[in-house]
Order: sequence, then structure tokens, then C-alpha cells
Amino acid sequence: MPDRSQHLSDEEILQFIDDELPADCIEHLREHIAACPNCRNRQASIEGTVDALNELYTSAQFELGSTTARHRALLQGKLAEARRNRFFRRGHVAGFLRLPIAAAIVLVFIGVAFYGGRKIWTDKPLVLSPQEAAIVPNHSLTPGAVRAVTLTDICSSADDDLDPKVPSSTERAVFQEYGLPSNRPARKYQIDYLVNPQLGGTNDIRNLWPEPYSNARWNAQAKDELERHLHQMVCDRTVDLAVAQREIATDWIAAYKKYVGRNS
Amino acid sequence: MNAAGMSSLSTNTAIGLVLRSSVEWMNRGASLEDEVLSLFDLMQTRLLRYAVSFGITLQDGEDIVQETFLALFHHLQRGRHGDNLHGWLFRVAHNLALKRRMKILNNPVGGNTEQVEISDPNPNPEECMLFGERHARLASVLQALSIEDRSCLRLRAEGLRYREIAKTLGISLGSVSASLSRSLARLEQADKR
Repeated sequence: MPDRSQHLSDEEILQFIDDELPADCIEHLREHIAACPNCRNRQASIEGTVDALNELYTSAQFELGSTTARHRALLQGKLAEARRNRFFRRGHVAGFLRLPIAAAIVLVFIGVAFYGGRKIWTDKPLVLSPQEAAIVPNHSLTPGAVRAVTLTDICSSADDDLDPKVPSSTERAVFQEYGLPSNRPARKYQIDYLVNPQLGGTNDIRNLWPEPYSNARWNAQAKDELERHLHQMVCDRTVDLAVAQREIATDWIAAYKKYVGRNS
Repeated sequence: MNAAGMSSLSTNTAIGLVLRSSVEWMNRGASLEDEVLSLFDLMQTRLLRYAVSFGITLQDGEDIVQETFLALFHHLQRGRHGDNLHGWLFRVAHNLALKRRMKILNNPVGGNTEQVEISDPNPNPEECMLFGERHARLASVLQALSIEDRSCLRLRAEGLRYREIAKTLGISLGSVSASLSRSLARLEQADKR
């Protein structure tokens, strides 16, 4: 603590003016200055010089008004560029995530390459057009055709013919009307009933369509499953025969989801 | 779940994390830009005034201000503390201005050295006659001070605390106090003549 019996130094007075003294010293200096005319004069003189200096600084202002907006826009552009550069150069993914992400990408790449390669080797000719790969029949060509039957007719017989045995001429006709080459290997699709005989369907060409095997889920096997299921439900009288006929003819996939999907 | 399913899940999770991280990162970057631009509006003139007090041209001063705020953006992007950004800005501007001045002095091609002296914003005695004899006397004293002493006075006038001035100039707190007191005494003496 300075000796307060003597006058304050200019440095102390300036620190007092600038409020740069420790809290416990300020009160002592205030008391000293209040009681010491010499130090009060020094304080006034220093404050006068500081004011004159500030006046000098403010007199040397720049003509910035016209350029401020331009410099602001310039900086804005630089900041946006810096953000983009940093994003791409240094990455934004936390360090601990980089290794798992890289590993996942490599695994996916290997899986795709392996699966894709095997598919090409084993199934080389299988390139179906969208029309060929259609999983629902064209209703203008295949609206469905049924005969007049009763529940006794369809439920008493042990007919399990889900896949029609159609003459090759009929098969060619079906392929032809769907615009398919008739020499397609039979394993690509089967000629199927739209409304199966167990629900009153006939083997009329309007009830036959080429159903692809290629779809992983909505293929001929799935439709056979629906046909068996609907037949059972009709015979159990949980579904009306006419309803079953209409729904399977309209959208067999929706019917599958409605009747089989909820039980599967 | 089979291996392919696990792989797919982990990939989806990773991609989701990346996307979310990207969006958050971009949003954070945009808000940082706004913060930096707000500070630019507030501090541009003060920093420019300080930069050109080193005797560099107005153009160089403007470049330094741009560089300073760009550095601030990177500083904040790295998650550094945003406390006392005013002091930080002056410190960066000080270093850049000193470098620029040294570069000009070391490469006096095309009369750059002369340009440094001419462009010193502290009004020379002749200019200050316009503002009065008092300003002229103070200006001539300022011209004679060292850069460090002048910087202390400038930074104090810009409202920086002694601690901030010390940090900006890389000197001790005591040196700041002594420098200010010494310079003001010289100015006061010249003012009384």
C-alpha cells in the first residue's frame, strides 16, 4: 500500500481516473485526493490532457460512410466461402464417427459388389422390361372371368389346381397380347388365373395373365397363397364369394395385404 | 436381424448422424457469420483507426480489418472462447498491422516507406494548424512517441482495459500503466508551452 502521507504519482492518479486500481485502494485514493489540493490539480490537469488527446483522435476521422456497406458485403462473401471451404476441407463429422462411417461404407460397397456380381453371373439373361416385370395384370386385357358357382360347388370339391394347364396356343396368345416374346423361358413367369377356379374363375383368356416370378414378394407363390387363403375364408363364410372374386380381380396385392398380410 | 440388416442399419444411422451433423454445422456456421458481421458493424471504424495509426495506407488498413474478422470467424468456429472479443480483435489487428508495416519498411519499392509516413493518420503539425495550435503540439509529441507508447494511448482511447492492452501488445500490466503515464506527461508538458 503506498504511503498516503505523500502526494500521489501521476501513474496512480491515471489509474484512479481509469478505474484500474484494486478495489481496496480506490477509497484511500479518493480520500487523499479530496483532502489534497495538489493531487486534485494533478488529476484535473491529466484529465485535461486526456480530453485534448481524445479530441485530437476524433478530429482525424475517416470518410467511411460510403465504403462501410461495401466492406461489409465483402466480408460476408469471405465468411460464406470460409464456411464452405472448411466444411469440405476438414469435414464436419466428429472424429469418433469417422471410422465407423468409413467401415459401414466399405461393407455396403463389398455387399453390393458381391451380390450384384453373383446376380449377374447366375442370372445373366434376366433383364425384364417394366411391362414384363408387371406384378399386376392389365385390367383391360385381363378383367377376370368367373362362372356361376355355389359355395357347395367350390367347397365340396378337392380341386387344388391353382396353376392352369393351358394349351401352348393359349399361352402364346396371352404372351402376345401382353407384348412378350413367346420364347421366354417358362421359369421367368407362369400363366396364372386372375380369379382362380376354386373361387369360380375360368380358363378364359380374359382370366389369364403372365405373372412374373422375379418379384421378391409379389410373385406367383404369393398369389397362390392368397388364393388358398381366400378359398378357405369363403368356405368358412367369413368372406362373401362375390367379394372375394371382386377383390382378387381388382387388386390381388391389396387383397393379399387385407386377408393374408394381417395373419402373416 | 441378419448381418446385412445390421450393416444397413448402421449405415443408415451413420448417414443420419452425418446429415444431422452437417445441418447443425451449417446452421452453426450461419449464426457465427451473423455474430461476426454484428461485431464488424460495431468495431470496423475503431479497428481501422487503430490499424492506420501504424502508418499504413487506408487500403492496407481496410485489408487488415477484413483479415481480422475472418480470423475471428475461424477462431469462433474452432469453438474458442468468445469472451472479451474486443480485446481479441485489437490484438489480431495490432499484429497484422505491425506485420504490414514491417513488410512495407523492408520492401521500400515504389516509395512505400514514404507512403507509410505520409499516410500516418496522426495529423502532422501542418495539418493540425487547421485544428489549432494545441492539436499541433500534441500531434508532434505523438509523432515522436514509440509505436508501443502510441498504441497504449490509442487502445486506451478505444476503451480497452489495461489488462487487454497488455495482452494486445504483449507487455506487462505495469508497463502499460507506466507507458500511459509517461506519454501523458509528455503531452501535458507540450500542451503547457
